[in-house]
Amino acid sequence: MSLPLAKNYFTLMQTRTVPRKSPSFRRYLPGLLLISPWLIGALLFKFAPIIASFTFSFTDFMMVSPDDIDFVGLKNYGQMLTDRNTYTALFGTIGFAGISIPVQMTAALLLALLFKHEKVFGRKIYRALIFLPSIVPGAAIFAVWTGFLDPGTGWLNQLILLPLGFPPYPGPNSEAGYNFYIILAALWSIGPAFIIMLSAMESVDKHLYEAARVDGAGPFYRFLHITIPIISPAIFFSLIISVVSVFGGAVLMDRSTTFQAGQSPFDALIFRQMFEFGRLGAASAYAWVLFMGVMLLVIWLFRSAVHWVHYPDGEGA
Amino acid sequence: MRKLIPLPLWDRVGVILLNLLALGVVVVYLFPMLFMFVTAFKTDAQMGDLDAPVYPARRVTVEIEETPEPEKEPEDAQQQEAEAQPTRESSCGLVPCLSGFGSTNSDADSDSEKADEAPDTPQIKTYDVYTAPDPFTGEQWALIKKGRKASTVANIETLDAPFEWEGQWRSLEPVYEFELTTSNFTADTRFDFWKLVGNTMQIAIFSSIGMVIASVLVAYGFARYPLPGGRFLFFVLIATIILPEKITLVPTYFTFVRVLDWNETFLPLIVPHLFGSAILIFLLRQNFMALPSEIEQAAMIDGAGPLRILWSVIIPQSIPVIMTVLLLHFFYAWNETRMAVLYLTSAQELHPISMGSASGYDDAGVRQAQALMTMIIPALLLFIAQPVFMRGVKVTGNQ
Repeated sequence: MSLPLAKNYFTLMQTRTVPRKSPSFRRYLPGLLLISPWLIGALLFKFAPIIASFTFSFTDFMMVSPDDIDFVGLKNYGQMLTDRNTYTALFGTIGFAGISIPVQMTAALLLALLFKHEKVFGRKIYRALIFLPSIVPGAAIFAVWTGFLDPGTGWLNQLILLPLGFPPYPGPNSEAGYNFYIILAALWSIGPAFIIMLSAMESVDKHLYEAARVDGAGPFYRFLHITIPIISPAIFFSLIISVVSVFGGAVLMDRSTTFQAGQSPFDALIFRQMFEFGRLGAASAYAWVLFMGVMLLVIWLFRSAVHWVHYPDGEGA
Repeated sequence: MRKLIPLPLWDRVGVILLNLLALGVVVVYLFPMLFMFVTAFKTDAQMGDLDAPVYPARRVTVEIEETPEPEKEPEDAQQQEAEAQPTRESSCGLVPCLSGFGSTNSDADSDSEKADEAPDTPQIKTYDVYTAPDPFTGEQWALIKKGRKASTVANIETLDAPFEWEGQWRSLEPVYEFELTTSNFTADTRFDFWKLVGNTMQIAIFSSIGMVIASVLVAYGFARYPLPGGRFLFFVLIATIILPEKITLVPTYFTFVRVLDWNETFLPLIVPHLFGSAILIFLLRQNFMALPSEIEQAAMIDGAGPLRILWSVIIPQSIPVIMTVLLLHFFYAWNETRMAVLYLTSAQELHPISMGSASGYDDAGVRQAQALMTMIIPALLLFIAQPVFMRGVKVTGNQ
């Protein structure tokens, strides 16, 4: 749809000002001017740093002595491969992503499904209330969970599990306890995904549901064959946000201190190299490996999107 | 199904069940938030008290006026008495009255304090109140003298007739009374609310406004104008969303701190946002593209330029999505800590509120009180803007 419209503009502009010298540049000028803020920003804050980072990763660049840089080849990468911490951090990060991303996606979808229902009174207030935990500052969240999950005095054991006759929660130091903590923390960060999915669900044409109902389709069938395909771009969008946040980006929300002890151990590794040891070269090497990994994952996601993300006008991702 | 068997009663039951479910889900989801509120109003003493109830409360105590046996060293005590006189005047004698939380009297500390007091003037002693072991009497006892096997207690109704009770005083349940304490909100003198809000406002407002202006322009360019390699450029835009932050961290940090000398200023937190935010550009573009283009074409025929069309045709139709983007970025900027920690740690007076509340004050109550204060402004904004926030915002449509 964008292209024909743009062509209309082009022809309109051509009728007014006759281009003589470089027609293609003239044609692109308004668009380029409009996107120039982003273009300049991306060059300054994204691409230049990426290339610089790549260069640094082959040097012994230290924070304290920026004038004394030597080329060390693949030494930083070699050191990373032989460090046992790398593998612990890597598996920790993957495990964290493997738990929290599916939990977040499912929870956001189910909550959106519940709160889009017209018969739920006060759903406008509920929508804001579900988003509310997403604006709790990260430092406080950590304190909330440590207090809430405390095996002795925490509310989870005192008010929920023990009165209902469940076995008590052992605290976040055991393996199962840690996973449970990750799930809870992930659930409390679904605000943006929830809002995006809800907004998409509300935009679905009601006549579709009506027609399906007349044809005898049950609620489950309607959810699976009408709702899911139509909101699939919203699901995909939330999924990408989730993936990037888990691997140490800050998209739509900053939860950096939430998991300082736990989340994305690979991030912690980079931070240690950078600020504890001041080794910018090594930190860059670690970051580049993370970058390649996330990029591969995202490219795979985009490729898979062709099969399950549905675009109404037939244009794929 | 519904058309064939109209069952209004079943429908009504279904609606009630649905609403109960929704309410239940919200209550469970916000349960930790309730924990935040309750903790913020608890005193430090209650946090360490294992018998204390979950709600903010304090131990009920009773004060008894009594004349102790004379003791030695009177000179020293006389002075102290003179100082302490005014507070005694205001105390309430034999009437059970409430004083500070957990002011236990019978331990060694307070005993030695009392030894210093003047001999023959009547003095006030504070005793904890416990529930009597037989709950049916409804009696409450003041524990006057703790003993291993037997303790001296007094019924708080009468108080003047202490008696010996045989039993372990540790098995008695202390009496608590509901009380909110607000001291957590003022305890940390480093947490200067208005100063922190002022700093955060400067960062959040400048970066939000700059970000929105830039993002709207860029999104409009992507939505409506031909670009060299347009699809490729758009893919690059998406790619910058998914760049892990760490990859740009090292050179950016080095440039800001060592080259531009922006350490301890707000600039590193504002300037990168003045170029628009890729994810918000994406949201805006999808919504601009869904707008009908007839009015724009008419305006163009009338000779309106791109900015004119953007200002008077596109923006008026896109207020909800622009508000949404503004709010999303404002929330982000408000709670942003990782960049703030990088550049502002050493400059105490420039800390934004998200760092102020993470200042490491090691008291759970104070921490939650500060978190609540940090949230006030974003939460108010969220509820005020709730009618337009993310309403009808599209992420669908072609990429």
